[in-house]
Amino acid sequence: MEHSRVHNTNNNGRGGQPRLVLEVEDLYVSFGGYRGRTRAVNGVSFQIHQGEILGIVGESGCGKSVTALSLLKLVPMPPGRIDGGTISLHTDDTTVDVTALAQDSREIRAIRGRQISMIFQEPMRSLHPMFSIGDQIVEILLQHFAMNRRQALDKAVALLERVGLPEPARVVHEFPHQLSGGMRQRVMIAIALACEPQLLVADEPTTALDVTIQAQILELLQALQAEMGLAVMLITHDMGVVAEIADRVIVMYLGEIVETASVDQLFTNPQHPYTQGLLRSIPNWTDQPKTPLHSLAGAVPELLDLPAGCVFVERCPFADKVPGLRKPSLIETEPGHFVKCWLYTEEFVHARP
Amino acid sequence: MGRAVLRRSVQMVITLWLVSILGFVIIQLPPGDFLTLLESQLEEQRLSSAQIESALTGLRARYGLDQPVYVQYLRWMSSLLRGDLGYSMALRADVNELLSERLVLTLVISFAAMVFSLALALPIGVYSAMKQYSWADYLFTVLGFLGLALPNMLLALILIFLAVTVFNASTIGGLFSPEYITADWSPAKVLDLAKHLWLPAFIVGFSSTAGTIRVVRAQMLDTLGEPFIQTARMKGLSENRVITRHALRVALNPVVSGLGLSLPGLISGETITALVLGLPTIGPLLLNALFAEDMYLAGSILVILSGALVVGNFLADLTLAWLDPRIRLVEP
Ligand SMILES: Nc1ncnc2c1ncn2[C@@H]1O[C@H](COP(=O)(O)OP(=O)(O)O)[C@@H](O)[C@H]1O
Ligand code: SF4
Ligand SMILES: [Mg+2]
Repeated sequence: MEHSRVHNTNNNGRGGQPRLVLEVEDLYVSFGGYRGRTRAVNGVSFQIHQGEILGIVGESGCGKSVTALSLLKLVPMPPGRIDGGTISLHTDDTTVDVTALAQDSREIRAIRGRQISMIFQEPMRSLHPMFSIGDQIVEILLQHFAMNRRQALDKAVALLERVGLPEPARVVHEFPHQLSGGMRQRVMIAIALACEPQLLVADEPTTALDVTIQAQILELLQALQAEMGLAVMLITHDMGVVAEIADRVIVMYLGEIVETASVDQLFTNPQHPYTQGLLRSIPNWTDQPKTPLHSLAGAVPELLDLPAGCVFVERCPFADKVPGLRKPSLIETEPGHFVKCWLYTEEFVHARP
Repeated sequence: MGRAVLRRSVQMVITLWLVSILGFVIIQLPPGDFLTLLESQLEEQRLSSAQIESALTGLRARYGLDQPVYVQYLRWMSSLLRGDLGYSMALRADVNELLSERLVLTLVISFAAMVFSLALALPIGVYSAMKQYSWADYLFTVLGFLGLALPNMLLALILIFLAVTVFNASTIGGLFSPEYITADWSPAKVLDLAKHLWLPAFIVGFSSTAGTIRVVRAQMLDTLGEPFIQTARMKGLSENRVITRHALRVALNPVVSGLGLSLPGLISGETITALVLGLPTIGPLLLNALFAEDMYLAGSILVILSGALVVGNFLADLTLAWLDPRIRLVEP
């Protein structure tokens, strides 16, 4: 995909800056509950450009899915609530702030599936169990395009072929329970890409699948992305997946972005103690003995009682060397590489490992 | 699909056969059989013992009462299969005649009650699920539990009382206006029936409504949490379409299978209502037959009702299979 980029001389470290598709600024999302509000997303900002795969990593419960659902205004409200920020979607002629649209409004529904599509973690449960595969693809086509059923069904067969399903003319009449998990995820991809959206959000699309199937699905996503000039936001808790296909990475922890960089930067020079911990958990990533993800001391704390300062302070091996009670802000340490940690300020440079 | 239907049909026939044996056993159960009862009645009428004896022998011969039990069963079964339900000794009439019109009316009331119950429970259940924990949801939940906790009989009595006092239901009692009771069936008579039908249908249906609301609400909540609902929204469909086309379709499955099972409740509700309102349906007849130890009448009614239950379940299963490809397309 790299070759298709337009290179220019800005300072983002990877050269090209193709068209901006989506811009999230200072997003806050919380959920009401009996024990208080869960602050799931706290001040998240990022951009996605055409033709780019943006990886979002972090352990479970860090707010990745909530961030993703916010882009389509699909966070259940109530109990969910957008407390602040904007999500600007740029189309050819207009810019829309998704956060300002009502959940069932015509405007947001024209964006869902048409400008931004999403696939989910559990292909076994993401397709309607009682409609045929064909009907489920036809439905999204008829929702957004002026065509008749016959044309839509033909297009569905073509889409199934494109996502690599054998015998698409037969599969189109089958039902989800007749397909394997990997095939169902391919069908989901066909549905999501049926209306040629600008952005595909893939929320842990391979987590529920076998390793071999996982690789096939990632390969397919990569191929389709290059072919369609698609922007992809790939959510995963697997650093290996990110290393394989992402261009840029955002590392999230407790609803905040703690580090963001290009894939090369992140893997050659991981800076945030949390990122370093995640990387150590990849088998064979370094020469060090394999250590499982749990080697990150402690578990993700509850979002109900967030630490006042750095979100990672409770599990950070350097916490005693820096003022954990003050909140660090994102600092650019090299072009395009941002980290939210006191260690990278002039003041505490001596404490770095 | 074909094989599944065949298997269910065989199951149904076997169940019906067991039901017939059970019905027959019930017929044989009462301590004093009907002939003993009749004998004492005839004695009271001061008939000579010879006359009594000849009457009794005639009856014994007709029903094979002097034969071994299995012969009696086979006779009864074979006449049942030929559509002859036997003879009511207490009412001195063919059971067929006694039952035919009442059976139709019972089915009509039960069906109307079911339709009424669903018409009420579906929208309320769906609304409660969509507005979970709203005040309306709490209200329906409380009413629902009240409905579940109250015995149907009490509920029927309260509703009848309300219907008479508040709505001044002049049509209360009976299913026809006097001029139509003996008239032949005609469009006017059907219309008259409909006018009388709403009250019993309402009363009988109301008692099962509470349970159905709970089922619909719980099923809707489960379904709305499913990822495929997220997928439907992701496609850009309107919430209306997501609910009616995607969620309801799945949530209704257990409601459909529940319909087959709701029949006994409908019948018992119908019996109580019919007794109070004086309706010419099967329920009161069954009750009287049981009191009078009128074995053929009681047995026939029980077999017919149980048969209706079994067939109802079979139909519910067929409907399910027709609705749901997961059931339809799985070959055992
Ligand atoms: N529908 C919801 N109701 C209440 N809390 C929720 C809901 N969805 C997510 N959350 C909370 O938001 C936080 C972030 O969740 P999520 O974005 O799903 O994490 P991730 O995808 O990174 O694993 C979690 O603490 C979760 O409990
Ligand atoms: S700011 Fe301090 S506590 Fe937070 S990650 Fe950096 S070193 Fe650790
Ligand atoms: Mg998630």
